[in-house]
Amino acid sequence: MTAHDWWIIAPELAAAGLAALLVIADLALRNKRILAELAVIGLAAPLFFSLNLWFGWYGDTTDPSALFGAITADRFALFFHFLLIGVSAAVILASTKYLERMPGLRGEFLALMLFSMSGMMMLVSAKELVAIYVSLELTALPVAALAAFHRGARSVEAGLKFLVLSAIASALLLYGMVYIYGFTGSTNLEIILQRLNEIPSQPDQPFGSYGVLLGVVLIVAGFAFKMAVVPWQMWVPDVYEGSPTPLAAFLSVASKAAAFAVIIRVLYAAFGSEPLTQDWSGLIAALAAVTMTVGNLLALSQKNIKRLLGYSTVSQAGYMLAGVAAVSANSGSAGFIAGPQGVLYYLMGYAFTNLAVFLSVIAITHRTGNELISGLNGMGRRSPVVAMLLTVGLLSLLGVPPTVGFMSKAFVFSAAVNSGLIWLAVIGVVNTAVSAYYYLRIVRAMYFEEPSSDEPIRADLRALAATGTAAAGVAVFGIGPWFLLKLAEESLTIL
Amino acid sequence: MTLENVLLLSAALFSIGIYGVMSRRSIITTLMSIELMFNAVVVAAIAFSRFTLPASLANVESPVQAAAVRLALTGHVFAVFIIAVAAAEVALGLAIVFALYRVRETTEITDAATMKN
Amino acid sequence: MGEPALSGLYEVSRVVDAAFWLFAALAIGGAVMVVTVKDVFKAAVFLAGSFLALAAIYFLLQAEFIGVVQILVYVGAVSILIAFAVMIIADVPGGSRPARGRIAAATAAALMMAALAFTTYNTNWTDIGQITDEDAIAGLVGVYYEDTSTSPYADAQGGTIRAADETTKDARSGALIDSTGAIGTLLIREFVLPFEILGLLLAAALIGGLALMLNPRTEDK
Repeated sequence: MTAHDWWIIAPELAAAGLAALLVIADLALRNKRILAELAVIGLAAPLFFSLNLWFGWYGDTTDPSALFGAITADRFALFFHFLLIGVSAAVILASTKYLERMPGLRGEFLALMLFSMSGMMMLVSAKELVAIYVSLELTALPVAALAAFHRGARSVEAGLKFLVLSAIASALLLYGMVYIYGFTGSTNLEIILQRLNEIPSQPDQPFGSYGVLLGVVLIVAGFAFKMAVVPWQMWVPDVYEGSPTPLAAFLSVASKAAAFAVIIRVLYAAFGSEPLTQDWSGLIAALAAVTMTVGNLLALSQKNIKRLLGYSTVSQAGYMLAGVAAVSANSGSAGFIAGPQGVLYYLMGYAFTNLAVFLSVIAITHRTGNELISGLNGMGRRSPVVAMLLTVGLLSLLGVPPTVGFMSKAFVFSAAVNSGLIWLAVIGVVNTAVSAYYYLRIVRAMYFEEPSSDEPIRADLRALAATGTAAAGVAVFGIGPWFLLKLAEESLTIL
Repeated sequence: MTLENVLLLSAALFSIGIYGVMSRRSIITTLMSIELMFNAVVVAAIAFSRFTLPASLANVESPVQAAAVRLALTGHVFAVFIIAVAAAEVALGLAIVFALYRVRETTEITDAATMKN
Repeated sequence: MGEPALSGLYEVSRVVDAAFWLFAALAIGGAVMVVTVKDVFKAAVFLAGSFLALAAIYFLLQAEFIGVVQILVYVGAVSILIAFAVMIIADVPGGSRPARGRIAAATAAALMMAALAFTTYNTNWTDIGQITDEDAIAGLVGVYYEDTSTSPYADAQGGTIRAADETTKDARSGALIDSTGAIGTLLIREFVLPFEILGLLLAAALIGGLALMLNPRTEDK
């Protein structure tokens, strides 16, 4: 490995090193309360190395590719590094109170979460199928252990369910990858693209060949688990309900963002040539339509707030997929990146939104111990600040202007219309209208229902700071979306 | 033994694995079925390595570089990683099964499904 | 090219062919027993048998290293681990009853099988027989020598592969190069990144498993 290789993989290495350090610190330190603070401060290291790669302060970073083309530190990867580090920091900050309930395992909890985060960072930078698969597993296995962390029946079952379903999804994904490898003879995304252009395609077969068709379908089916897309929607609420809530927040934002990053990279980098794009665009569009509809319909009847939010993330994933499907023109032309740009903007905005929602829910349910929607009755009086932050987040999930959720949906749906997927945009708008029912039901419970007691709920200051930052992001980037849009556009120069 | 024959074997194993995952209630049988699916993928990877043209040799100009020939074994390397990851997955899976057993005294998925609304 | 000396290298002898069908039948038979037999312990034994048959098939496919790994990891470790789990949990008498969705499972499996079989036979796989470069074929079957003196990439890319002399060209039983050594080189060169990530993965799985096995000191919510 050359010095150049070290600089390129420095962010991922720093994240993994931090995880290992926390395990040791857990053994060495007497005062274990500072572990969470240590983790958040330690996240500055991967952040610094990512910023370094973005701005090119130290080391030779002109060529973002390293380790025989297996990994890249292009802007696309760095964009997601920032998102993942930010989300992890917010989740850890917000869960310090929560962690005090498991005194013996604080170090392991944080370490496993950071291991999973380093896996996600590698996932978004990997440019080679084997590396993508192994880092995907590195994100999944710690999560399965974390989901079972409470040792209660529901928690252990959530972990088991996650592990089994993730293994099935991995098997499908692997089969797809192996078919693509068998057809093209390589696992490197760039060489796959090159070989697909060289191998004569069969005009009568979709995707140029049935082998490629099956490979792409299976790969999408495998990643669909991580994105929480139909037909994997059933794991989402079960795992969210059973596992520790900070983990649910982490899963719903970070895991989903990493999965969308990797599917955009695989589809655009390996299968980004005409007419292949048109083939998978139809596939993804159909998946998007089914996902947003199913997620919304299932959310309508939920009574548990975590289950409701679980189905809500499913339908949100459907909206994002609409952006992935919106691939209109040949690569290089102006409209080509409109869809992915919308998705990146959506993911960033969604990270702020969903963190605001989940962290407020953590702040409230941690005190009341009641996870039903009726448990939020009268929160507008009992905990006005948290209730307000939660309302901001819910309005953004619904897509009310001027929140970031509104702008995200506007970008994604207009990209879909521009690439000829008008029907998909119509389904999306109808679904948004339906979702108003269950998002506003929570708001109504907080402000118009009688509380069971009048005792005020005081939230932890650190958690409040993290939640407040997320809610502020929702408002700021909704009113002024240009910064995020520019960031997304710059990140997509690789396509 | 042609590429198609071996792929057919792999497809059969994978389908049997899918049947096992969907039809059995014992979580340990489910884990075994998942192992069958992973093994099916390994069979396919090895078959491709053996019978298809590696991209590294698709356009080579003579003389051939040793690195290009080595890359013909990408399928084997793929298999090594699949086996290693699957083993780790089983180990963690059994750890969780033990944890479940300690709480519930059962290893059946349906019996343990308390989370239905 | 297509000279008779080299063109037959990728054809399979009758003995190998017969052995393949035998072991394939054993592997599939074992797999079917795993998912149908009632007793979980017996299922674990059948699983080990199926894994063993697959190891034989890897040898037939000239993947000796994978064959050995298969025996060590799957037959030796995974099957034993599962058998231990079955014995400790002592869930065996109850057995593994089939769930209600047996017909749905069979349908899904049949559909998957049909899709895979259809794809297998209708895809224009780029056959390895399309390689016409004599040096490349020699490299693949292991009858070559490495010429490091002339290659301008000698240190970065490895040497130049050249077909060995006429007598070794006839070596029909040549293995798909020196696969173990080449896999080792690949693991620390082209695939060093997944190799490193794998190390992290094992560490994470270990920590996760240990944490779950520790005495629970937390209360359920």
